[in-house]
Order: sequence, then C-alpha cells, then structure tokens
Amino acid sequence: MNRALFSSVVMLLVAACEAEIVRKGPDDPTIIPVEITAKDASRIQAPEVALCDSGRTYVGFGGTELTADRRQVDLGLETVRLKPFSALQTEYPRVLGNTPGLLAGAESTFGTTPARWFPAPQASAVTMYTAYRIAFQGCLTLTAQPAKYAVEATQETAMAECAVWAKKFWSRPALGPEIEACASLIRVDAASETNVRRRWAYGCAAVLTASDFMTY
Amino acid sequence: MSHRFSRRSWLKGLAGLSGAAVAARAGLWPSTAFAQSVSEKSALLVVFLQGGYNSVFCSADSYAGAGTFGVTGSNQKALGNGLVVDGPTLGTLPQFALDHMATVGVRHGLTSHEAAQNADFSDGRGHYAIQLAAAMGGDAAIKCVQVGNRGVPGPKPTEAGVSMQTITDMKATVEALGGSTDGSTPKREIAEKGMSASRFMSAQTLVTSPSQTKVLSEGYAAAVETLRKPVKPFDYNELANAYALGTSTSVNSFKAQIAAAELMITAGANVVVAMDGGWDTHGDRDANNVRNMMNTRILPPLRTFLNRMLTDPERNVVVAIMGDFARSLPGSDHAAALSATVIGKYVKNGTTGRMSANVQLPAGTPSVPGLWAYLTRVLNVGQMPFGNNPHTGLVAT
Repeated sequence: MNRALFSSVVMLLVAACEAEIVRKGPDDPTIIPVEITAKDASRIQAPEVALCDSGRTYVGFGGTELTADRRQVDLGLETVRLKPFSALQTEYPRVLGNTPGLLAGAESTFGTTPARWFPAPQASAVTMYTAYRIAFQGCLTLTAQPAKYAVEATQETAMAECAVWAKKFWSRPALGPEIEACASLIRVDAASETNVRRRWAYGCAAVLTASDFMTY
Repeated sequence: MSHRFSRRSWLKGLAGLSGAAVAARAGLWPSTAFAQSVSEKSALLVVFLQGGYNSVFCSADSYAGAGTFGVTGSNQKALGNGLVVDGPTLGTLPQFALDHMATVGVRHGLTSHEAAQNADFSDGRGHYAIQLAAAMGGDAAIKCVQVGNRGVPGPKPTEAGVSMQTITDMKATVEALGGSTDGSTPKREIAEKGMSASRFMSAQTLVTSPSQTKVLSEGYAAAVETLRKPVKPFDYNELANAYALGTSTSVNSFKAQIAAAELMITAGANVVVAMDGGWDTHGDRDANNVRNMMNTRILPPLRTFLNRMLTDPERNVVVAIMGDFARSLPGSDHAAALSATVIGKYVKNGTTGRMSANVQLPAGTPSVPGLWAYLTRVLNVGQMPFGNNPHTGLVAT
C-alpha cells in the first residue's frame, strides 16, 4: 500500500514539476525507501532546481511585481508550516482526549485571523509558553486518573511513556535522545515537584510543545 | 504530521543548536556586551502609520502660504528653533513632549508603499529595529517587540541573538513574565526545562526547515530566556485603567498596542514597534481625515504613554512617529520623502524635515539610516550601527 502510494507520488512529481528524485539512505527505519527501477530512472529528468510553474505574475500599483520577493527553493525542502490556532483548537483535544480550559481564551495570543484572510501563523516567546501551559493543563488531566501516573517514574517507565506520547502526538516514533530528554525532564528536572502526577505532566507537555506537534 | 527523520539529520540539528549555545556562551552573541553607557534605561517606541505620515503634522508652516492641507494662520504651533507643528493635533501633546520634539527629514525618494515601508525598516539585509535593539543590549529576554497583529515590514533576521517577538495578548504576556500562579500553571523553573526539552526535540525540524520555522525557533529561545529571568510583577489592572482598555486583554486596537508597548518597555524591551493602518489617505486635500484619525485614535493613548513614561527619571524613552512617506499635493498622494516626529528627553526642538510648499525635502537631506542613526544617538546607545548621526542640531546637550 505504502509502496503504491509512493509510486503515485513519484509519477505526479515527474508529470507536474519534473522533480528531482533522490533516493534516501536506508539508515532510518522510519523512512520508507522509494524504489525506482532502472527503467523508471531513465524516464526521469532531473533539472538543477526542481520548480513548479508558479503561474501568472502581476504588477502592483506601485510598479513592483507582486511576487518579486518570493524566494525559490528546492522542491521538497521547507515544507513545514506552523499549525494555525484554528487547527490547534482540535489538535489538542484529538491527541489528549480532553480539552484544556486555557485553549478557549488563547486565540488572541496566537494571533486573531481576520475574516477571509489566512495570515501565516506567528510564534513568539509568549505563544510558545502559552502552548506549553495549554499542554501542561491538558497533560494534568491526562495523568490525573491512570494508576501508572501515581507511581514515581523509573528510567524504563518514563522512557516507555515518553515514546508512547511521541508516537501519539507527533505521528512518528521518537528517537532515543528525544525519549531520553523527555524522561530526564520527568525524573530529574521535575524532581522538585512533590506531586508525582504533575512530574509526568511536565514530560507530556514538553513532547506536546515540540515542533512535530506544533507544525504540519 | 510525518517528517522524514533520520538519526543523521537529528544529530545535524543538535549540532546546530549546540553550536548556537556555545556561541552564546563564548560571547559571540553578546547579550550584555553592548550595555548602555548611562544608568537610565533607554527604550524606543516607533509608531508607524501604514500608508503615510502627512507632513502637515510636523512641518505645518510649509503649507501656510498656500493654505494647503487646511493650514491657516491660527492652527500652527511654533515650538522653537524653526519647528512648527499642527496646532490641533501634535500641538496638544503634554508640554514636556512639546519641549523635546523634533522633525527629522528622510529623503528616501520612494513613492510606492511596499518599497518605502521596507526601506523605512531595512536595508534588505538586516532590520533596523532589531539591529538597534541588539546594540542597546541589556538583560531583558525580549528586546525587540511588535505589538499587535499588523506585521512590521522588512526581512527580520536575528541580530546578535535578538529577534522580533510579537505580542498579541497582554494577559498571556503578563503570565509569561511571571504573573500567574494558579494550580494549572507549571512551575517556572521546571517549565524552563520543559521548553528547553521541547526545543531539543524540535532540532530536526528547526534545522531542516529553517525559513519556515524561523519564528518557532526564535520563540523557543525567547521563551526559555523569559522563563530564566526573575519574575516581574505587573499590575495589569492599573495599566488597563490608565489606557481605558476595559476587560479585553487582546492587543487589537491602537490604545491596546500602546498599553502593550508600556508593558514591554517596563519589562525591559529596547525597541517596540506599533503599526497602525488606514493612512493611505488619497484625496484628503484639507487633511481633515488624518487630523481626525490622529486626534481620535493615535494621540489619546500616546498622550497617556508620554505622561507615564517620558518623565520617569530612570528612563530615557523616545517616541518616533513615521510612515511610508509624506502625502503629496494637491491630492494627498505619495510624496518621495518623509518627515518623522521624534520625542524624547535628549531631543532638541528643531527640524531637518521642513518640507517645501510642494512637499519636497532639500537635496542633501539624509535618508533612512540617518533617521535611525539619530534615534540611536538620542537613546544614548554606545554602539553606532547606522553610522554617525547626521542630525546633530537636534540633540539636546
């Protein structure tokens, strides 16, 4: 299924953009290799920079071409975008199974979107800390009932739970150092917290405030 | 989401972040090296009127001869040393502001909005507001601020570790600065570690998509830095009352922008930019439209700000009012130069921005960097990132 999907994507890229197809290294199990036969490869032309046709251009009232400052980058790079608040409103409940109370009043912190416009979401110190607070509130609820969070974390249990959160929040498995960072937060950095459940929540919130959740 | 992720690229990302941290520790990102040479804390508020800043406000006598832009013999106010402002608007500001006001000429030669707005803030490489905030130094976590959702023009690369941070809600900002202690609020010292962990876990994304995640990367760094700083107590209710904000904490009006500017300057910010729209006033031949906007929207909160901030003996707060360009005659269209108003403790009454009757500045009037060099000078900043101040006659000694 995955192989079929990737084959389709490859063919679309070839047809629409004459994209450069690069075979990724097999060193990571999360990467599904794109397998191209010699016959396929001979049909793929790889230009120096793979670009889609950007369409018509327009000159503004000031005599400046409206897309003049638009930068061209290689196809496939820089695809990450910040999730707008409208998406976060459903994303937090989706992954947490509860709706943090802070979420309802947080729109102006993340930037109010004018009607009929879609400005690129912005992040700042205040939005990121607010995101952590929202995550922490949701994680407090997440860790409030299950018995496993009433028990002080060991290295093994912390790493296991961090891995579960990462998979759930990021939709990809975490790497070892990422899991260790989360576990260390729960076991070492949050040690001054007397409430064991809250220690777990700090780790959960850190995973939930990482870029793999905040972006798409 | 599903990023392509490999151990190698994660290590590359980690190396980038580690390199940044090492650079900061080694002093390559000097947060305190550019400390101001005087004991009072300096700060700049830029009020940018998007569309244009009619020079009738700061060069009123230019239009008295022909009576253009509604100037009469009785609605000008002479402040001394050749400076004449519009009486019904700027002329009503507090006396301290009138005694420390200048008009600064900017002969940029640009008449398109996009080009002029960008040029007012950037040379295409760096951003003047961020460069100035970096040169001013200090220990605040957030040194350069955009208040409100309206974006400040120009590319905004980080300068010596200083980035432009956007403030769109004052309650959330006060809480980030340490003003909240309810049960669902994380302990600051652990939250700082939590944010650091989040940033660590984001290394792959931040490095592989540096342009698209620039603000995210800067946000993590500034959040960690903010949480590291001692808690700053703020009386938000007092601020809200002073600016008549009501119960809303959102920075969604000009008065809320100016209140947020005071909040951030009090928190230690060096440069704050407040953008206001609606100043592309074609057809406003008698300047009644701009006078009305100035008196109803801009000056009331600005007057409050000036009264509260300018006379503080421990501060040197400078306010600059500017826009894309001046408005031309006869139809209030686009002039090719700008006259900016600057108010501050070390500003001397005078003008280098007296327009001709047909809205032109004399040849030889400096361009945009000259304005920023002047602002740097009246802020008493030791560094001169924009060169020597060409408006030497406008500095109080």
